[in-house]
Amino acid sequence: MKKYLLPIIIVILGLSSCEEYFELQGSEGEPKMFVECYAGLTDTTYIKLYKAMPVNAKRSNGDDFNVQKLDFTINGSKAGLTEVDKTFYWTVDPISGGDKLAIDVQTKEAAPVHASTIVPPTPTFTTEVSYISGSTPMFRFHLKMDGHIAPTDRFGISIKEHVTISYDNGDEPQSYYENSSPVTLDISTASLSDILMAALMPMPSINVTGYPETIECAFYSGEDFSNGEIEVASLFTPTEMTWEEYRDWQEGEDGNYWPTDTVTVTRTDSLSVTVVRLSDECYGYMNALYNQETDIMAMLGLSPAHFAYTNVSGGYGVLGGLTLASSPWFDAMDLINN
Amino acid sequence: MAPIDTLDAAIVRDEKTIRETVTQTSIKKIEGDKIGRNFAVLGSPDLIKALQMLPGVSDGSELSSGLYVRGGDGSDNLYLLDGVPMYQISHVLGLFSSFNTDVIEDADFYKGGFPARFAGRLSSVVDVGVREGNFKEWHGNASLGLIDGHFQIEGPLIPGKTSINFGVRRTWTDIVKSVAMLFIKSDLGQEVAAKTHYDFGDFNLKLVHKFSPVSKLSFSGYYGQDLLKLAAMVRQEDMKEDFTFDLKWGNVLGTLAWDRLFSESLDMHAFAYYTNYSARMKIILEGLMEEVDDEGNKSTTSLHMHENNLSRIYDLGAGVNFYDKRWSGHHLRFGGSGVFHTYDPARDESFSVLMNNTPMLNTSDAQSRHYLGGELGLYAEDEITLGRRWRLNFGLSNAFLIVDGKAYYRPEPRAAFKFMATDYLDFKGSFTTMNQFAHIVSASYADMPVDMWMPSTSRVKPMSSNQVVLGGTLKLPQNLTLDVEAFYKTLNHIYEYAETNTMMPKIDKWEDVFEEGIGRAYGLEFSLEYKTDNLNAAAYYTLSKAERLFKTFYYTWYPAKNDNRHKITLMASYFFNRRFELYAAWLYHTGNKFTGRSAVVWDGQYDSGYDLYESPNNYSLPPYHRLDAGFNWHKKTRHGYQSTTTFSVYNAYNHVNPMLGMITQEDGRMVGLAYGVFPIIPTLSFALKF
Repeated sequence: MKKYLLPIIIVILGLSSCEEYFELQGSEGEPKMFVECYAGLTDTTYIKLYKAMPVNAKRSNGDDFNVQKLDFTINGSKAGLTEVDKTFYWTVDPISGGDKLAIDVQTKEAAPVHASTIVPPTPTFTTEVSYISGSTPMFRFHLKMDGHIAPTDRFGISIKEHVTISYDNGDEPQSYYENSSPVTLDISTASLSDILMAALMPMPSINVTGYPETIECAFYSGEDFSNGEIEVASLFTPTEMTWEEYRDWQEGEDGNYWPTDTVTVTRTDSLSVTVVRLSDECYGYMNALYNQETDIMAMLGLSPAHFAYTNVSGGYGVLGGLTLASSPWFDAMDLINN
Repeated sequence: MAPIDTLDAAIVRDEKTIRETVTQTSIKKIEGDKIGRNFAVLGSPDLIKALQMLPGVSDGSELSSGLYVRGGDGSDNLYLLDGVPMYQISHVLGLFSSFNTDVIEDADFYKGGFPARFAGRLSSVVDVGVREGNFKEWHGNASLGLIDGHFQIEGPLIPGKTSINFGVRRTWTDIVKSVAMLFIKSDLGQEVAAKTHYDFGDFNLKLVHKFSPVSKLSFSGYYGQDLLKLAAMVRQEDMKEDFTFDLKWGNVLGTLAWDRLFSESLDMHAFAYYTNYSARMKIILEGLMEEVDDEGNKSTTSLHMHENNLSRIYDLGAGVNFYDKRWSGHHLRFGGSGVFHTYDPARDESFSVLMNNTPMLNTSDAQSRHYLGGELGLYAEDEITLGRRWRLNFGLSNAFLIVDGKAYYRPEPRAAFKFMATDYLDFKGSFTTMNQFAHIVSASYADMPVDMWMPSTSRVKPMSSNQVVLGGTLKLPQNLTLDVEAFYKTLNHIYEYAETNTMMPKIDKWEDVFEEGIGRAYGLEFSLEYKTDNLNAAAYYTLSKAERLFKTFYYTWYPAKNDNRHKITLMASYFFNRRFELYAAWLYHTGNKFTGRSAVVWDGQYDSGYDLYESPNNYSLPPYHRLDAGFNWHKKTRHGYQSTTTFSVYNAYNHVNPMLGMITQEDGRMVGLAYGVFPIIPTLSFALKF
């Protein structure tokens, strides 16, 4: 129904409604500072600063500003900042779970801004994995978190896959990593809307400067856990794990090309679960970014819009804390064969 | 002892007596026959449309039956029909309400200062009383509007003892259309056909029997239903498709009440009731496509989709109220009620694709929840008279709820005062705490009949509000009355549905996607009324602010969607003589809020920009304003009946008011783009009273 309802509403509105253009209040106002800083995931914490221009600003240049003061504090003490350029700073002062962070920025061109957050503790958990065969094969991951999980705690859970291709002729093996959000549905009984959402909509992703990869994940709250435990699933179709590859194709007497060498290729898949623990500010901002890309109904004004988050008072952006932990690697074939 | 007819345990009608005995802020009393045709749309006067004109009330979407009262969200209004709660009050998707003005005796609308006998909702109480039938003579009326007809009759079944009042309404356009379609062929041709059908109907029945001058039994019942059907069919050589959409919703309720006058200063009202609201939305789509490839091989692909949504809630309740005036200077009201709730939403859906009869995709899902809840309310209030000038009212309502293995107890203190400084000047104030144990689960702003009601659970706490009101009333010369009220209201444990891109919320995991927050609203309301025999005029102005704080969505307070800073209503009706009445009403308010991007950041390294949003609901739509005008022409027929011809125009200067807004680019600038739907709507109706 959802697939048809939105286009029906759009057509009805387009054909039957009257349009009125109007001026946006405050769209020519003063610029504000944009601050983006994610702390706790890497040893180096990066701070990005930009000047955000109102949509109808008379001046078009957005990145001209002079920093008069930039304080980044960890538990009340100023961190040592290194300036790359006026839009980019970093610090290597250690940050760990439970630390209280704050940032204050004063520039000549915009109002001062302030933000604060508390870095969540690093998640610790144990994982049990099982393979479910059938028409929709999948791996089920049962996570048991240590410590107390409050209903308002926020998590991102991602399934990471490590694929290695090796050859028996001594060629250098190749490997790569992929991560994806878990799919917490049994496709044989999933609703139409769940399937369409999983197929059509991109999942949230966590992209932190300095962290080597973008983590595609699904967001959960503490309420999704039952006594600190949660189960997520990842669809997995076993592919051929060992096969022959034909090499050195030469022209034969019949004019056709034939391989003269055969290499045995072996693929190994390993899986791991990554749990990211997010501060409220980090979750609110990332969820807002995700909704900006995907929430069509809110963009049309048909439902509440949840894509305007900031915790930077007087400005835009986020100061958020996040920590991460991963489970050991599980060999896919071992799980399937067992 | 005075007969039971002249003593009223609930509300006193006379204005002078109201001033002297009722310590009430934020109340508007409307007599049934005063809901005149100046509030009519498409022929039918409507109580809710009349209430939407009042200060402190926003209407939400145009021509809807929404009431957003002093920062409320529309789901926090208690609608009572002869004391029975109604969960959904819209006909024709909000064009009319379920209250038939032909049978209404009166309606009391509370925006604050709620008496202790009312509980269960945060923002308002609309207490509608159905008129008892005439005990002496038979009377009635019939009317025909542009889309519906009414018939009402009342009279004595046993003169002086038993009376009946019966009113019925129904659309007539569907009947005319069905007959016409027998003669008119569709011009869409054989390949494409489409059908639509809409009808609504309701009836009210009230029976009253007087056992004696001090004892009477009454039954009040209501049945209402709306049905919307759409069907489309496509037939082509290699494809056929069938689509059907059914939406049906309605209320059934009934109450049996016994009023007993024990003495001139003690009376009792005991009651039992049943109320049921259910809505069903069914969608079926079936398609078949045939293809032949170059080698003549035929393949067929068929698709079948169905979705069935059901929203049901029913209550069984009983209670008793006492009104005791035996102590000098103290009027006591006390009583209690118990309600057994059943919440029963359900959804099932399936989707399958077959290729040459081989299943390619086959999925189905069924969700349902079944909640049983028990609610108990006990209250007591004391209306105290201190000398000639002071009136105080202290009350306490106690609300208990047991549902989903969880028990809640919420005390609700109430207090009010009135100081009659002079014969012309009163000061008044009140404090109230209200709780609400029922939540509407809605994923969109559209007021869908299939929106679900769910109870508070162990995870979703009861909502609560606290409201302080201070004000005064001044009787001015020349029949003018000025009333001023300032209010401050806080809302706690309010919820917003946070799932995206869905019109129909989850049922089995609805609590997972509810985010909790708080709200507040404050403002100033001015009301200036002028009344003479010929001219009734009113001017209302509201200055208010409504905000929300949901820390998941934003770090600090942001405007609520219906945060209309200014609201002005100007109304007048003039009787030229007994036959001709002219009326007009002009309504203005600042636009509803919406969320749009407010700034751009340019990442100099990559020469790319991305949009920023200052806060939720950071922009206002253009102001809303419209003029309604019309006249009533009364005539006596040759049989002595009174006929009334009404001509009115809704939105007389055709200002299409914005309903939705977004940001777009126009001539190199970012501007807002608003969509509105409703133009000028003329109305003609005819009514006959006998």
